[in-house]
Amino acid sequence: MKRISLLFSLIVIGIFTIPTIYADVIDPNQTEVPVYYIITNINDYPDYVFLLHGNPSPSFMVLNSSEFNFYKLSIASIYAVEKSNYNQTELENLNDTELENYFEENTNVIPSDLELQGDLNDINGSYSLEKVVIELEITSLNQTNLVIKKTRAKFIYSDGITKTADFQDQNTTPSPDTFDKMDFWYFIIPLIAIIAIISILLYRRYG
Amino acid sequence: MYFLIYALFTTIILEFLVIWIFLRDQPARTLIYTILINCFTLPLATYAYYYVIFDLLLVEILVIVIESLLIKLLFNIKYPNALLISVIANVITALVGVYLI
Repeated sequence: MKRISLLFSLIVIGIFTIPTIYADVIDPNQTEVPVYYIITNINDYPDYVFLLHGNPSPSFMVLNSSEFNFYKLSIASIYAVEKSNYNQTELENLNDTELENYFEENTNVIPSDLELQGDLNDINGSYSLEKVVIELEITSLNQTNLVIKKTRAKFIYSDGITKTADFQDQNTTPSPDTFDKMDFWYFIIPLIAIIAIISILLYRRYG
Repeated sequence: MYFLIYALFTTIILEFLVIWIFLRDQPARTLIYTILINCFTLPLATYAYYYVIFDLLLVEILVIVIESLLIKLLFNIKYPNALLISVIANVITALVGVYLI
């Protein structure tokens, strides 16, 4: 009996030390969530090249219809340049100062006023949140003006579940709904199991 | 969904082995009870940890308490024994879970 008590005590101590080990690696409430962006209607503007320029990085990145991300501490903006005015080789040969001037002063570069962050820290979530994909939509583009709106955030979890939430306010990342259709499995299976368990217990008592 | 099935399958196998080692009861009955117990606790615990509580220790303690009660009722054994089995089974599954993560 003493051996069992000792074993039991060791196990309980073990349980209480496991979270300490966890805490050094990942704190579920302070996880850095990688954020990706995607411009959903970029193909509607085939005459333009879309560039991402951020501080401290990326110096510039050509955007397409795929998801993109950048250094987590950077703040970046999207710019459009008419294809006829765009020269990739010229851009690659610019130094940092010249590149900064290109994005700030070149009249061929159409800036958007949307600032993108490299990571998000205001999301309610656990370490199971693998990444967030923010969908962007170009709502207006002409030779002087580029307007891009955040439309939707997709929260992708490590168990394969994806949740979405629409942006109500451009400055606030929406939180994922805590319940959606996929979640039914998390409740249907336990419901069936507890009904079976209760049935067994009742049968044993009264059957 | 595949994640849930995979976790459920692994947990059932491990907990069945622990319970069976302790009780040496009929294997088929032990397996069925283990399936029922884990089908009740694992999906709820997974959901709670991912979306509601975010605290693995608290979730594990709740699971241990609930499973110990279910083990006591289903296998008709004394509560201290049921608690011991529940603790050992859940520590093993937690350690395997940490290894798999």
